Amino acid sequence: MRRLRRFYQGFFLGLFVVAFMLTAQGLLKGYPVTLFLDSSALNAVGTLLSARNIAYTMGIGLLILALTPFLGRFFCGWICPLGTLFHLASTWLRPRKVSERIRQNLCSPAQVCKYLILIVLLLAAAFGFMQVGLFDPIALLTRTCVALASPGMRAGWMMIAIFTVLLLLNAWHPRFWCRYICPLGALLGTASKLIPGGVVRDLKKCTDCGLCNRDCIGACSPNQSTRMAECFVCWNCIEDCPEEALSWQWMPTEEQLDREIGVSRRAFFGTTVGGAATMAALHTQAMEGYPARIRPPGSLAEPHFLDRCLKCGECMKACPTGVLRPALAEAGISGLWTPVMDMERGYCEYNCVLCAQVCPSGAIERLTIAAKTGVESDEPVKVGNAFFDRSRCLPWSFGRNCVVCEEVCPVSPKAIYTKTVSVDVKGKVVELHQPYVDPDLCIGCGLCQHECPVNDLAAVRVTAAGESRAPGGGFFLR
Amino acid sequence: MTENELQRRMFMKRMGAAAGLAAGTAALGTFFHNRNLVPSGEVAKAVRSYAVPGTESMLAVAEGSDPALAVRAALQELGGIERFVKAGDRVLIKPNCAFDRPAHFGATSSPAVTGEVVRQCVAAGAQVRVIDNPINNPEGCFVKSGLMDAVGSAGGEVWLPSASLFGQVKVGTLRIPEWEALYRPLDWADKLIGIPTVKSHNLCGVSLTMKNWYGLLGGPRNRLHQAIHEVITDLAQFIRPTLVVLDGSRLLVDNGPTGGSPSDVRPGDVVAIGTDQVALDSFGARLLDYAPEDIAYLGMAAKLGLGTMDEAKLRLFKKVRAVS
Repeated sequence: MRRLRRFYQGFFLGLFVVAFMLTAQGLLKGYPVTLFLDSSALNAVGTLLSARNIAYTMGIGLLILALTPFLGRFFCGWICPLGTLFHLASTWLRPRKVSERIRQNLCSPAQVCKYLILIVLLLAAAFGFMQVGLFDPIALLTRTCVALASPGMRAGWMMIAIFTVLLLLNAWHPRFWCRYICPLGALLGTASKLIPGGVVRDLKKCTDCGLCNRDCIGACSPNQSTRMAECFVCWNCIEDCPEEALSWQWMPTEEQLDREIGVSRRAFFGTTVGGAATMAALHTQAMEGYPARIRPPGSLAEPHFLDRCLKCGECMKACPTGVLRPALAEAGISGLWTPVMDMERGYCEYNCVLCAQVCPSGAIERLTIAAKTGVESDEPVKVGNAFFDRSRCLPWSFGRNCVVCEEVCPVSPKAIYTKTVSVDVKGKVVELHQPYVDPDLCIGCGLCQHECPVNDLAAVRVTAAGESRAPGGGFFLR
Repeated sequence: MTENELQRRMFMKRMGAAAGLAAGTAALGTFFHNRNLVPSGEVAKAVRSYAVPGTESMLAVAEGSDPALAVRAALQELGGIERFVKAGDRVLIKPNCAFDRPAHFGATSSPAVTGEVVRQCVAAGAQVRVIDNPINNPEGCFVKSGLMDAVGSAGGEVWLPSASLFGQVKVGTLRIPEWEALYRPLDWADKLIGIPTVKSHNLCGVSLTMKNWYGLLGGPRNRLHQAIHEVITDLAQFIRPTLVVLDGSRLLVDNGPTGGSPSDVRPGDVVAIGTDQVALDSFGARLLDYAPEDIAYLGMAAKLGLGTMDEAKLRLFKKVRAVS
């Protein structure tokens, strides 16, 4: 059983890595690269609560949730790639002495924390403050991989630091994250309360040696009555018992299993009220004004976008120009680490919809290139609008010709046009081509800003004003 | 050994050590004395001429709706590819692959012409690599323009630009004494063939042979637009190719150099191959309904003696119809 489990864990970790590698221009060929994000029940339930519907691919998560009351937390023990990584770390970092290992794997009351985190997250999601992605293990791992794959990415150090801390915590208690923090584990644990079978201890054979706890992954106390909400169905205890006192039994009596999850009524109400109040306070902060952030093409209108975005970073991984990066404060508190465009780093490639193709939650709508560029509808997706800063622009302020912006503008007809003026520059008459933006044609791709020779603060800059997804379609009176 | 002697030995030892230290310090000081505080940049390297002697001032034009056939017909007029490319040569081809656009938008060199030129060089026994430093993401440009497939199936290899391929090179003109360019590929190559496509250009009227060399540059090349005509002339002086294949199979007549709509494109059905950059670009300008005299950089280049705008003044000028 141990060997079989390791095989599955290795297989799924490998699959995760392959799917991650494939999330790139030239390699994405319709493969389900977001398979693991889709199979997280937490993402599915969270999105369902906040957006009231989910992408159909996320049904995999619901399917796994539906299987959990019959099979237990098999996802945690056998599939989850983050769990597997932490499992490896735990194995490498574990103490030599068996007694010490047994002590680390005793069931702790602190394991209730993850249920409280789950309550707060789901409650917040239900009221439109979607932060599930911050704590979802797959989103967390994906995000960390994106940060590792793009060195120097803004906020990448935070993601790597968080991951490193979580990795090292495995030295203190094996699979620390899984036992104490993981809200997906909590969700699946709650579901496996109902499991019709479990690890049952034969009191006549048991000598209370404690060896069943030596390799217990979930710290689910097989030495007493097994707490099935914590059990990872790894069967290590059954194999480790020298007296063969432990066995898997279907339909055991109520006393033989522990069906609690350990959340007292007081803790439940306290968390609900306190968490709701905190989240509400944070949420009001987020809703003020019109935040200056440019979203990827195909993004839903901002409130709906925030209802769905898991902050997993898949779009940033797929983007061929690297224009997408995680938001810090510019998208409000609820928008932390959601994707925004930074035209100094890249630009939105005209014939490209890779970010929309990989978004697992539908925060960025599946978009065709035809729909994005508007070749049929004449209504291209507009992520923002370019604005000239004439005080920095060479033909406007310095008596020199330039208009790289017009040259690279990818739309046809070009959204940047020039008017020619004759200007006296130091006693010499010069013909200057001064650029203008046509807001009806500009799609906000930012290539003009990216290519502008005025470095550090370009003379033409894109902001989200005028984005087509905004209610009313921008800042003009139509 | 007396007390006195011991002290003397100690004294000598210490003096010796102190003197050594002082000498070391002085040596270090001398070594670092009067050095530049800022490390000097890499030394700019020269780029050789790729022209084959005796092939100067030639232009052959082949009209026909089959681009591959037109390439072959024009080459034949010049004496065949063998006159320019020898077996074992390393040939670097520079198409215009500046934008992430499907081929039919006319913003990039056509797969048909590029593929045929690669095939001809491979058939002549050469090793062929194709390079460009595009405005958009290189991989996206080569894949979506169809050049990746065309080059690959013709037996060539696309060389995607990366930081390690660039180096500081001597351009040697007044405006750009030196600039960052694709030095390693240029150094690798024995022969250089440009395959510009015929495009209108927002700033300088037309983008053809000379403007196409822009894609060999790196660095802050968005500054070069401030004196675009002078810089294009500089590039024509700087790059002396083996051959240029002007791809007029379709013409980007509007919204250049990016295009973006099929309505910006007009069929051209012509390929011009030659060694005189001014003559080639004058021919291309006429295709786009410009008089060569109206393109400032052509006048400048002609004045510098880089070529002629008048086809009658060419050493060899041929015009043929390419039909099977």
